[in-house]
Amino acid sequence: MLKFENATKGYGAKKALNNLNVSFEPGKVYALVGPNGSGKSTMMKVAAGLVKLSSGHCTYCGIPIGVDSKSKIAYMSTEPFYYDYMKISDVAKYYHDFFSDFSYDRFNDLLKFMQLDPGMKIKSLSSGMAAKLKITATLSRDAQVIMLDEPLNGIDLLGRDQIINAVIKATNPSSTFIISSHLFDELETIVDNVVMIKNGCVALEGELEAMREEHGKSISDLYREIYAADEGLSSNIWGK
Amino acid sequence: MNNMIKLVKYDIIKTKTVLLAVFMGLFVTEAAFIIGMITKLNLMIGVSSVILVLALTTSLIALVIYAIHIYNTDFSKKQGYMPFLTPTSPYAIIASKLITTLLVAFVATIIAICFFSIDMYLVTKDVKPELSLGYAIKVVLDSFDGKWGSVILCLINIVLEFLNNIIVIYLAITLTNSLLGESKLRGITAFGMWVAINVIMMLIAKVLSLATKSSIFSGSLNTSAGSVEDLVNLSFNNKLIILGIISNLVISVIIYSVTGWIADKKMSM
Repeated sequence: MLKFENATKGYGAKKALNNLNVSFEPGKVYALVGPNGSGKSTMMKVAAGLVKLSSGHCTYCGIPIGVDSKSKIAYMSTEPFYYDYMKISDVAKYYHDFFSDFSYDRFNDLLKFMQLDPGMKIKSLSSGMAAKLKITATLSRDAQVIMLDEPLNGIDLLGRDQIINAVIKATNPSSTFIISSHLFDELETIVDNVVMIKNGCVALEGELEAMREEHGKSISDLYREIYAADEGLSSNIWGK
Repeated sequence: MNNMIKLVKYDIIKTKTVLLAVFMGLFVTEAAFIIGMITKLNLMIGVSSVILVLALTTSLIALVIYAIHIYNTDFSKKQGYMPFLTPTSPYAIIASKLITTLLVAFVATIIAICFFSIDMYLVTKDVKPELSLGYAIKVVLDSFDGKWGSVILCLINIVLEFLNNIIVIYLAITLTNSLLGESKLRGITAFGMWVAINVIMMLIAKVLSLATKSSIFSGSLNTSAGSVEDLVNLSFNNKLIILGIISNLVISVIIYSVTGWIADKKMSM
């Protein structure tokens, strides 16, 4: 189980995470939603070991995030980060070198599914292709926690379908999936649970169906209710 | 350990184009010098020797720039996610950068020695035997007088001094990306810290130098020596060299540990 306890991360005066308390259970697919700057990416980077908390704790199965957890947690960032000199096949070699849970077979299957050529150079990939490669490499690990940060950002409609299908294929009862997005609609078909982040802490969380029933609203309406007031969007654009 | 070696491999692959270009440039210049010497083309000899002398004298600066480059790209840019997402401790990541730099320095030194020997041979082969390369090597080897243990210790000390300088730079870069991350003057502050650490290290060396009446700590040889033999005798005092190695080793370990700790506990990417 991935757990955040009183997790706070400050950048100067601004707090990206503000006393965040949330946990993620195995076998479930979580949607981590919230507007830009709400703390979703910081939260994932903390779990991936890239960002250190100012205070509080983040643990995986009771062990603080560190070298051991990195072998069990797969993280895909929004930003491209593969070395420019690499070809797609080199990315697979790199993952194979460092992650014992990496599967070449799964990588090659997903590459075909994403219609990517292993001989392509990283620096020649379009942003959509680069996003598909990041997802392919991340999902080729048999990790216990898989975190995808904004996997559908900048992807065309057909690409989105490919990615959603790839995620559906990769889900399994022992892994935790956490997928972030600032738009919920695109994740609705694949998630079990929703965690809404606002100003660095949890605004609302629960099982998708239970939340709908409890509040008598769709998740999109709940999203608008939680975030629109803050952003002055409750009235229409003309101020009426 | 295993992951550290793999990171060394990837650091070398990552910079192979630049390294190959530099080494190829040196080989071409050396070839031009050799052809010039054989065909007695003075212009070719002149141009290639100037380039070779410049390359050899600036090689240490080039190595330091290389060390900074491989460290900085992984510690301050998004590409740093590559090593930092792997199950490798920051201590091992830092060590991998040091090993990569040492490997490149080793290869560069071997090439420099080979080129220097060939060039010296070509320049001195037709002059008097007392000025030939063979004679110069013989004088140096004779003055060692079988003190190979001391020679090796001296070399270890030089390598450790080089490592010290690199680790101090790594500490400054790590500080800019962690504790000073929010400061607008982080670059200047880190440079100031780098200067301050170096001044402290120089002062320690000076104090040790005065205490032991030896120049081994100050990084310079005693110029009052009258001959090569005197120089070697002055410099090859095993006790002093070992003391120098220990002090360099202690400084290296302390700075490396502090750098690793900051990267492990305080640095966010």
